[in-house]
Amino acid sequence: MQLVMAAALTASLAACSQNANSGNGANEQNAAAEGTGNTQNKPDNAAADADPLAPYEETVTFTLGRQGVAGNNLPAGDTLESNQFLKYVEDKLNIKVQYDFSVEDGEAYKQKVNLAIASSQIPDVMIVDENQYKQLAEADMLADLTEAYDKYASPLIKQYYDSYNGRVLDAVKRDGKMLALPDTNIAGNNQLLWVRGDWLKTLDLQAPSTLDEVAAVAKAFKEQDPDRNGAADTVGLLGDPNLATDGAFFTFDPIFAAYGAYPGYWLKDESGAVVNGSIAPEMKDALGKLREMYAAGLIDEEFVTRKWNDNAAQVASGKAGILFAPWFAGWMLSDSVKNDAKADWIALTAPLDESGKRNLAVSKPSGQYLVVRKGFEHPEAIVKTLSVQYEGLRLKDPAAAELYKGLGVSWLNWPLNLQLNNENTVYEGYLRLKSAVEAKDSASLPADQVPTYDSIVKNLENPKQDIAAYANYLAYYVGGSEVGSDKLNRIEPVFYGQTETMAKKGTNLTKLENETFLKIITGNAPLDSFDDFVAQWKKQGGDEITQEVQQEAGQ
Amino acid sequence: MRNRSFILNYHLMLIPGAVLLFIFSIVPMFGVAIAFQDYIPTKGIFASEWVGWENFGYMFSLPDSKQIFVNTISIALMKIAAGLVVPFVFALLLNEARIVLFKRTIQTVVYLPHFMSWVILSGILINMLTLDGLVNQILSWFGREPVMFLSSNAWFRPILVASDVWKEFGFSTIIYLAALTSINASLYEAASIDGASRLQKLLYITVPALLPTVILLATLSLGNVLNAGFEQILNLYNPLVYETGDIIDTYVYRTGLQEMQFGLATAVGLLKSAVSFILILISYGLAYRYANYRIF
Repeated sequence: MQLVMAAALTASLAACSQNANSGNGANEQNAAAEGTGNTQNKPDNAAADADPLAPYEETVTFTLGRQGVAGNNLPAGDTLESNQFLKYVEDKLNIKVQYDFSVEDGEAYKQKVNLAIASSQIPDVMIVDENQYKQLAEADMLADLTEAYDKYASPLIKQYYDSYNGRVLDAVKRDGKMLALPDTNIAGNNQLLWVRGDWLKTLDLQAPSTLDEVAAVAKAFKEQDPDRNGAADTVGLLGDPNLATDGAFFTFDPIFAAYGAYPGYWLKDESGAVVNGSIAPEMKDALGKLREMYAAGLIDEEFVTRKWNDNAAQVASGKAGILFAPWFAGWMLSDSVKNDAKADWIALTAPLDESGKRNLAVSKPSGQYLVVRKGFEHPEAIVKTLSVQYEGLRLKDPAAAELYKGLGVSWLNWPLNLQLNNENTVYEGYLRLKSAVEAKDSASLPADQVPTYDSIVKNLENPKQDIAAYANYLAYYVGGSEVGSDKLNRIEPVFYGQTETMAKKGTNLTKLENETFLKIITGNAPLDSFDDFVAQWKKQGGDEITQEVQQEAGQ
Repeated sequence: MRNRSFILNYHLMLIPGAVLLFIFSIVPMFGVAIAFQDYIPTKGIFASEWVGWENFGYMFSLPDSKQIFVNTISIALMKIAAGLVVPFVFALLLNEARIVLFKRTIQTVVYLPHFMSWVILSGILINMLTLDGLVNQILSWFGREPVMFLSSNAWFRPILVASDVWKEFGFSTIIYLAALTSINASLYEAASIDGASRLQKLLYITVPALLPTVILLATLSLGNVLNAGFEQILNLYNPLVYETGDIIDTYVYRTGLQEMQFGLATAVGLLKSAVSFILILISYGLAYRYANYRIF
């Protein structure tokens, strides 16, 4: 009874606020610009007849804050703020993008956005994380994009979102209003086991599949001089001090998963209660194994102080031959060929658990949110920009193929760096590439896959001669084939968001967790200190957070 | 009359400094209100809910707060002590050098790291201290096992202190060298006539003459007891050395800027400022009394 009442109440509230909003919007538009106001009213009356991507009569400008592009490869003279992609959008829509700020480093960008929010001076458009999105939404600083999305999003964009069956778009709605366009976390960013195939051959080893076999390969790589240079200069398995992060390089997620442990994820246990994967008993077993491996020297001894670049350097210099990373690590791995022409990487779905499965906690459906400032006069302009950008980016518009042709310029130079794609695009793309490569004919491929096809064919004909082609081959072909492995066993977490206490006590718990786990693995604390950690974690706010999650997940 | 306009000139010259101080140091002080709020940035200081001393209570309830304070104070005290002794000794040694060119060159070279940021210096340090880095290679010549310096709780603090001294001692040396030049040369002449050796001249003339400077610098550095060097530690630490290396500033950085817990972060910062203020008052009192130091 209460539920029905509540539902009815929300529905009517939503209706009210929507009316109020569209009313305001119309007034603001009229007040702002008569000329554009007219063009705006047309599609209102007849949505079907007008072209949703028609250019504006008067130039519309929006300011933008987003993460920059590290190591940008634009040709000389062009910048993130002024390039052919921006020109393309401007020519198509008469929309100008003005960069308010862009920061290359992810952590620094987050702080920049935090500062912008704190000072209440946000640009018209920003790409923010979940926490920031919540804050902005609660402060009523965001424009409602529901209508703009319905009317102006291209079929392509809608198709991307629809491939997630509402898991992406519904999660972003607040009181039925869409206050952001979320990105889509495509399936398949789980870590694969990348191994130097040439080293396996040299040492006469089989491709590993169980955890013990993985450990054996790491041991052999460390101790048996796989590069045959007569010096003990190779390391075992690479690692990262973060230990486990979805989609990260070098983290040990697959090892935890082999024990059925999913640190950081909220899961339901057999009794139906919500538990955090970090304190589950399986975690202790996994840590015990990592500890054993570390003590035996099978894990890079210095992984605790390694940064991403240090590990990539070990790969490039031919010191490391076994590591965990997602399919797109192909680009990083291809560097090792520059130093050693024999370097050959293979991707494996490993380690498998006792039942022969590679367990995998399903990624959060989205992590980035495109938001528009409330009061910005043309929220639909942003949706249009996104639509036009993706028509160009996915080469639906043949003319867009001429932009920086053959230069391999990063797509991030398009104005809105919001990743959208079909959920299974990586594996589906691989299947299409595979049949095209086997048929030696690219006619069946969509336009945006043809360059990838060309580079794969190039690499198959002359392996490793062109590093960029080899990188594409490693990522899309070698890595891509493993993304759809039938050994994957997907575990659905019950909750991805953040609760109030999590925001308050999260730092402390993360510190406790990270410190304890690293100490256990490196042998600076006994394995049994895990039990103490669980008690501490619960006491210091973990229990409180679990209750909140239980409540939210129960809804 | 003339005297008055003379003073007026000075006051006019003071205005730019006073304005800067007002804008950048006095006005932001109202922000300490955040320490007593459940601060939500989008609502601002005026609309956020007041929570009294809750942030402070929470801070002390954190099991880590004791460790963080202990780390901060011990690292800072070690740095202060080493930062006083090393440049003092170095200045005395350099003062004994006879060749001017040599003296000047050394002085410039040791002064150089002062101008480099910790981001660069920590990169160099990390390279030197890895398992196959310079330091471990030298250790291996003596048959020692390699040490993982930066993830070792035994080594982390000594590394912080040593690298901080390396970066800053050239700067402090200059202050001592300046003090050395002000010693009346006739004292040394008289001592020579009386047959004093070089060591005796050092012990009975130079050191006593420098002592007021040492005391002054020591007391003034008391105000830094809670500044253990944020930039340096942020660039060098990792979770394994939180136990010995996590200080107030790095903690505030993680909670405040990364997790947006502005209320808690401000409370911690305010407490730090309050303690520092008291220490500065004490040190000024001591300097006033024992080193004849006057501000007003």
